[in-house]
Amino acid sequence: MITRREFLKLPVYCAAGAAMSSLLPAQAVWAGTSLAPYTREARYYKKLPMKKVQCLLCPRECKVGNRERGYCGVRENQNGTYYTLVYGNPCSVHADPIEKKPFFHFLPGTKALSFSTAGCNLNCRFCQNWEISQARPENVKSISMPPKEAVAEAKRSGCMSIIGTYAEPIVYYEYMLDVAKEGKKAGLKTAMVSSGFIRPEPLIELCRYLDAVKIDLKAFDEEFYRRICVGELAPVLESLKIVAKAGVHLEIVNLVIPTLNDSAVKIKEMCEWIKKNLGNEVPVHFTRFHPIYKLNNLPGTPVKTLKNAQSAAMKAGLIFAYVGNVPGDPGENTICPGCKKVIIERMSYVVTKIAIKNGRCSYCNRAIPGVWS
Amino acid sequence: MSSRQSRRHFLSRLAWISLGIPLIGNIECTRPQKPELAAGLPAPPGVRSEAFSRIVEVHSSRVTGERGAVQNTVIQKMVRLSVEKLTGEIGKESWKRLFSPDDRVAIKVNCIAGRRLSTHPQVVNAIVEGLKSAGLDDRHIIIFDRTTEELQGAGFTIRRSRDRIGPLCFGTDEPGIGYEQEPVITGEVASCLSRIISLSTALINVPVLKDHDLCGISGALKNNLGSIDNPNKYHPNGGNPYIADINASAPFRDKTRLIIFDALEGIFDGGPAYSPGGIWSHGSIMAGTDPVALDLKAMRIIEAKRKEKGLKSLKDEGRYPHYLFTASDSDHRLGSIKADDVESLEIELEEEKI
Repeated sequence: MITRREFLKLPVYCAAGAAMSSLLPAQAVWAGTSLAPYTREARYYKKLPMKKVQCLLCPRECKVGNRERGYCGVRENQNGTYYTLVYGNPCSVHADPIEKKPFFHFLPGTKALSFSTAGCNLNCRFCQNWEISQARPENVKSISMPPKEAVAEAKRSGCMSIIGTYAEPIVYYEYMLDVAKEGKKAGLKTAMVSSGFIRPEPLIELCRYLDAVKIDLKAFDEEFYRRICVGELAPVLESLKIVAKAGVHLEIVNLVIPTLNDSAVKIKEMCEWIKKNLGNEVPVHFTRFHPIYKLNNLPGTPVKTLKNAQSAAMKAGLIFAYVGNVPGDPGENTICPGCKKVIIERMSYVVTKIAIKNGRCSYCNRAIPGVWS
Repeated sequence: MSSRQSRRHFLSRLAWISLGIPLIGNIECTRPQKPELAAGLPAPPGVRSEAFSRIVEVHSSRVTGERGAVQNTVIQKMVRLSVEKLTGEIGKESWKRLFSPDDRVAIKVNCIAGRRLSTHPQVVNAIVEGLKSAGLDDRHIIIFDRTTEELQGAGFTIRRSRDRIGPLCFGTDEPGIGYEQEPVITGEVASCLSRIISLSTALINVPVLKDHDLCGISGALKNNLGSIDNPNKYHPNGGNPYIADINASAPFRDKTRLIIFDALEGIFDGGPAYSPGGIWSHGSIMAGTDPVALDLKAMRIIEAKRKEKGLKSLKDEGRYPHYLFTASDSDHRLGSIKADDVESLEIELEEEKI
């Protein structure tokens, strides 16, 4: 149960977020939180001899000794049983514009209750949320918010959807899954913003309860994944195919980082792969990098680089290619591929015009892929 | 000795006041000084000037009693003798070679495996007595690990500032402590350090002799993962180069003055957690300032035990601790990997006149 104190905090966090970061402040001296109320037996693992376990949630397949945790830092072996430590224990909760995720073809102009726990199964040098993604749950300020409470809060705050985002929903899989189930029951749309670094079986199960998935395709380069993210590209590509095959609305974000993944050749290869394997109507966002975390030495992405990537995507045959993190840029608008008119106009996270009715262009009646109501 | 103090030092002392640690003497007067090292004495990691180190193993066949209980007086002798042999000085002078009365000393123990495979409180008590003999007030000493609960589980008596007697003893998870907000970045992984490390001027590392299912062994280098917020990020590839990287960061490199390896018991297989079938009584205390040389010795002890028990070597099991070699390379310079560069003393307590 959510406590009265925690309940009262929640709208405060939500309201405060309008003017400040969506994340609750990371606490340098936050400590001492008991994780017992948020501990549930994990899904997708197997027991090994000598009280060891092997996690089968993500491609790392961590073998975890007794009293140790997996790479994500939020799943722990306790005497041969593997537990998630973050069930119903988000450290970040906020009613965000859906455009912030970014989702451009999913309920535009609406709010989404966005939540996250601590932990991540990657370690990207450019992580915007490193204060929580690289932290253990006991080291960040969190609240109690079981799935039903999360859904109730989404409704109270006028959100049409509920989304696992910020750090990495894969590592709080059990919580994400149950929030999605409860959300569906309550008539909310459900979604996840993820790296896609997950094994097929759990992703297939999760897709049954999701209306949309946004995957960060961080680069089309195994070496980049290995060196910059401590991950692998191949499982992410597999995840993209699984989401598309499941019929869940899919959008892709590619954060373009100067000198690391801004090669025109690689971007072209990535777009061709997307078209071939996922179709030409998948929205793809080329977003701007800002120096942060371990990549403070690099400059922000020139807008021209993003425009070039957008053009390359169009040339490769992708219909909906966007630029992102460039407020006011026309590259954020949705253009009808039929009549070439602007059908969704955006100014940063604000939608200033929508000309879509029943999933079709208001001007020429061309079907526009997405989730619109 | 400097008569002025830096802003950083002044703030550090204020922080210790906030932890409840009284300051001795005039706050204007001193900056903790690393004691000068005489020729021949291996230098601590922060001041190493020559590729030579000394490690000491003191063994006793009587340290463990009939029921497995460790003998307090024997442990005190073992710790005392190990530091004396390491420094070449006798009694309190041996501790004064490593610590000054103005130091704020953090003692990092290893309690993850519970009471039956953790740093023995008796070993730490002997260390505290040594520090006190060097003129340190016991309120300038903190015994710590990741969590207060783990310390309690290993048999340590928790002491907070309000308890007013004895050295402080609590986990980084104690309210008001926690981890630094800004990460230390050395190599691939960024980590936030325990504020106990930040607030200390000297660190004593007290690891346990352990096999590790992913990293080969858990010794002095790996014990420092209990002082950061994300140890889980350091285990891929058998911890190589990550464990070496974090130990090369300035706080660990500059502050580590002494390593006392609790090798009274060890685990040769099934570690780092407690696993009854892998435990044996080794009966040693090892001391040094070179974490690589000590860990290498620990690995050889574990390998010998594994061979005796008919188990595959760590190498054959694919978990040889390559991070030890990385730690000794020119990028890290944390210690000596070559036998010729290490003076290794092995002493049988019962044969020693003390």
